[in-house]
Order: sequence, then structure tokens, then C-alpha cells
Amino acid sequence: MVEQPDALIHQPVRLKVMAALKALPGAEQIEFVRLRKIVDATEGNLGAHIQTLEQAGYVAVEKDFAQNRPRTRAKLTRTGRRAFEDYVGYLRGIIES
Amino acid sequence: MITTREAHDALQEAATAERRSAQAYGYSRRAPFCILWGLIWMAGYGGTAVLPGRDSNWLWLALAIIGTAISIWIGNNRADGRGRDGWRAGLVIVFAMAFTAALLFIMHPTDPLQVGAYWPLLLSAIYASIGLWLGLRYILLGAFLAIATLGAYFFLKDLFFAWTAVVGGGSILLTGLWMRHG
Repeated sequence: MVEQPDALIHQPVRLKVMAALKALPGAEQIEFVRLRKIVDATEGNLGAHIQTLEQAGYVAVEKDFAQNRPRTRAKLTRTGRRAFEDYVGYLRGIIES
Repeated sequence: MITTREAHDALQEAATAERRSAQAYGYSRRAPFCILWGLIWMAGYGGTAVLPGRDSNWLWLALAIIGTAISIWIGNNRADGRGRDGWRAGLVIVFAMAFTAALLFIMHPTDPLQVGAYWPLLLSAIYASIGLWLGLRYILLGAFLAIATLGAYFFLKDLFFAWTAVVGGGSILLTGLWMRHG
């Protein structure tokens, strides 16, 4: 178990983003628009947090066009999945101790 | 230092986000089937409203074959390339039709309206039941379908098939579009 909480995931919106991405099977991606509804954040706020998580290597972002419209999709990386599991383990440790 | 209370709250927030994400993912995967069968429903019941007697049976047979084939195709050609489960979608339809054929053979309904009301009522029970696991939208669709069908069966007999085409098929189609947009 880790000794300190991961400061990157500890932020409430980023925690929800990581949890939402973790719920997707395998290497499945989620569209930015749908993710925004799930975590209940504004576009700019979510964009900034996604960028932070991407820079940490926790989230991979893909931008393309679908039906002539720009589309941004995100997925959890292997590093991100492990970091999230460690963070959840840390929280559970606090509750159980 | 994080307190027990904060840890508990954070875990709960994460669990809520996970559940909502899984539900949205499930909706998006099942939406194409709802849209397809909403359209088939509209064509079938719409055709039954205007075609004389048994001619509508051939229409339904053709629509069932087309619907099953497209369902299998959708299941096998998802954009994400995951879960080639078209054969399952096809088998669900075959099971439902075999069950219905056996039921009609035993029960011998005499009024076309009875058969016409059977499918929406069966579907409404299925939607409401799976909604207990998969999300509120299925329960709402099931409840609406049952009320609309029973209402038309008892109070709009002359317009039953046209009503079921527009309201029943339309509600399935709209629910599919609602699911597709998360």
C-alpha cells in the first residue's frame, strides 16, 4: 500500500475522471462530451484536468473527426489504471485502519 | 492527512462516477438496436394498419428477417471493434419468435388486436425488468409502452395498429436516440 495519496488523483474532478475511465472495459475510449456529463464539470475545467492527467501519463487523449465534427476521446493508460487502483487502495486502508 | 470521512466520501464519489460511466457505455452500445427495432416496429404496425388481413403476416416475416440480419451485423461490426456478439442478438430474436409461435399455437388468439398487443406488452415487461440492472431509461420505456398499449387496446381499438406504430415504435426509436447521446 502507498504511504501518501496521489496528489494528481486526489483532486475531486480528476478522481471522478479516473473512476469514469476505469469503468470502461479494456482500452475503450469515452468521448469528451459524454465524460463531461458523467463528472458534471464545465468544458474548460474538464479540459484542464484531462491535460494534467495526460501530462502525468495517466490518460491518453485522441483527437479526430467523426461525421465532419471534431471529436476528442480519452482512455486510461496502464500507468493510470495502476495509479488509480493504488489510490483506491490507499483510501480503503484509511477506512479499515 | 486524509480523514476517514474524507476517504469514505472520495470512494463514494469514485463509485458513483464508475457506475454512471458504465451505464452510459451500456446505453451507447445498445442504442443502435433500439433505433433499428423502433423503425421496424413503426413499419410493421404501420403496415398492419393499412394492409388487409393476412398480408401483414408476410410484411412482419420480411421485417423480422431484415431486423435479425441487421442486428447480427450491428453486433459484429461495432466501431470500437469490441465484442463480436451479433450471434447473441440474433439468437435472442429467434428465441422470442419461437416462444411466441409456441404461445400462439397453444392459446389460439382470435382477435388480431390480441396478437398486436402481445408483443408490446412482452417487450415492456422485458424492458422494465432489465432496467433494474441496466438503468432507469429501460424502466421508463417499459412503463410507457405498457400504458400506451393497454390504453389503445381498451380505448382506441379502431386506431390500435396506427397508434402502436407511431407511439410504440416512436418511443423505442426516441429512447434509442436518447441512449446514443448519453
